[in-house]
Amino acid sequence: MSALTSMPPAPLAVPADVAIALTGVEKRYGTHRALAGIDLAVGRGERIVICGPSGSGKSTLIRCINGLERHDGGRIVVNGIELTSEDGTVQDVRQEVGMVFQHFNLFPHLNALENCMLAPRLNRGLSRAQAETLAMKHLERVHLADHVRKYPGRLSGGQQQRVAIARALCMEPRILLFDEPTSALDPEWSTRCSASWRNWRRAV
Amino acid sequence: MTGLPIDLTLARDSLPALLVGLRTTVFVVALSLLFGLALAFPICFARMSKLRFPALMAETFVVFFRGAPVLILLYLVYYGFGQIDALRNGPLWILFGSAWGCAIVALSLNHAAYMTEILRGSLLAVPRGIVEASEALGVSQRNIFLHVKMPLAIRYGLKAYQNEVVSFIKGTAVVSVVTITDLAAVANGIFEETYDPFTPILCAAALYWAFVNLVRIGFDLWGRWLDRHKMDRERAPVPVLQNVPTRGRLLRQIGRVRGRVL
Repeated sequence: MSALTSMPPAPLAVPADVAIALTGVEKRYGTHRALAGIDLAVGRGERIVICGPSGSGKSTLIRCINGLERHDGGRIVVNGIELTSEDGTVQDVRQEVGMVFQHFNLFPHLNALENCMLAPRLNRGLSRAQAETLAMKHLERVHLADHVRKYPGRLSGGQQQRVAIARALCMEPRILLFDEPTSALDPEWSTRCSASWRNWRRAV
Repeated sequence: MTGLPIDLTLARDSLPALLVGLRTTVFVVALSLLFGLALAFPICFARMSKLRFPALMAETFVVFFRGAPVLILLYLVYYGFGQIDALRNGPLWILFGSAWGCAIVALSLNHAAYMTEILRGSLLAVPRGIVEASEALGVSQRNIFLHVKMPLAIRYGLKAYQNEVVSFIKGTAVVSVVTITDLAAVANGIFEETYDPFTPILCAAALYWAFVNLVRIGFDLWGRWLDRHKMDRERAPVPVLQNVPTRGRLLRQIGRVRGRVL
């Protein structure tokens, strides 16, 4: 953290067509270096997959990009916003970045529609009707229009995952992060889901 | 004589007085629950704070007031505070000079200490991943608390809260020692007038029982409303069985099905 604050505030030269730029990113847990000097540049419209054995820091890397983990060194620039130790920048970055989790982490007390409506209503001050229209649009896009009133506990793994995607899309992010999105699904669903992403002309 | 340990005529005659006592008990309970809960929130935040000092203060509060018996607390506040000249002449005497003030203060502090722990446990039970998901959506910490953490914490903590309220209601009988004529005090008064040890006490017990169970039913309804997301309104209706089998037939059928599967 202190390394970040003492860093000169000179803006990093990031080309306009780069969505995510990481330079020399470090993350330590105690003495363990989870990320040791990661350099990465992801262009706009580019889709990339990060592979590696478990414990190699894939999740840590992805979680640093939207500030769920604070990096200990190096610089992260997302959509032109540099992640610093100031709280405001993390919030700014999160408005640009959507994330789908390994275990989906849907809100269990809200139905599929309400899951999608929560963030647009709270962050962007949309009215109930506006948020509902937006949520319906994205839920239809993931073919869940028939299940919008169901609570997460009543949805299958694949359906939950699509709600999670719709929920992220409702914030209309420029960047979408997926953290092992198919590992909680059975093989059939995981192939189906990967196939549907391939058709998407959006992510990253 | 009816053979019952209670005198029905006395029971009928003392009912109006007992109901007035019950009303006092309800007021004591309602006020203490209200102030106790209001107090529990800031204390809980302090207890969960990363800052050493507030966390330690809150923990001391909880340890002290959970450990101190309400009866002794009540004696200390009611009889002890009056010995302090500065307090007796100060503005707070309006509160501590009255039996009601002392009772509500002592009971609220006790309830707050228990509620702090219930609240803390419930907030800690909210899965980390769900909070992270809200953070990743860019929801502010304040909104995460109001719209994600609290709604879930209420569901996790409802049973513990109900337990605390139910045992608290019965515990309020101690206020009779500081001259408040609650249900227990009224029953005791009738006993002293009539020397009938059973009738007033058993009637009071019945009224406590009714009060507690009304509260329990209220909690059950609240809990069911909160857990409506677990209820299956959306699933396709369960196919209606043709001539619903008796238990014996059902067991035989299950046995047959099992046998086939195995």
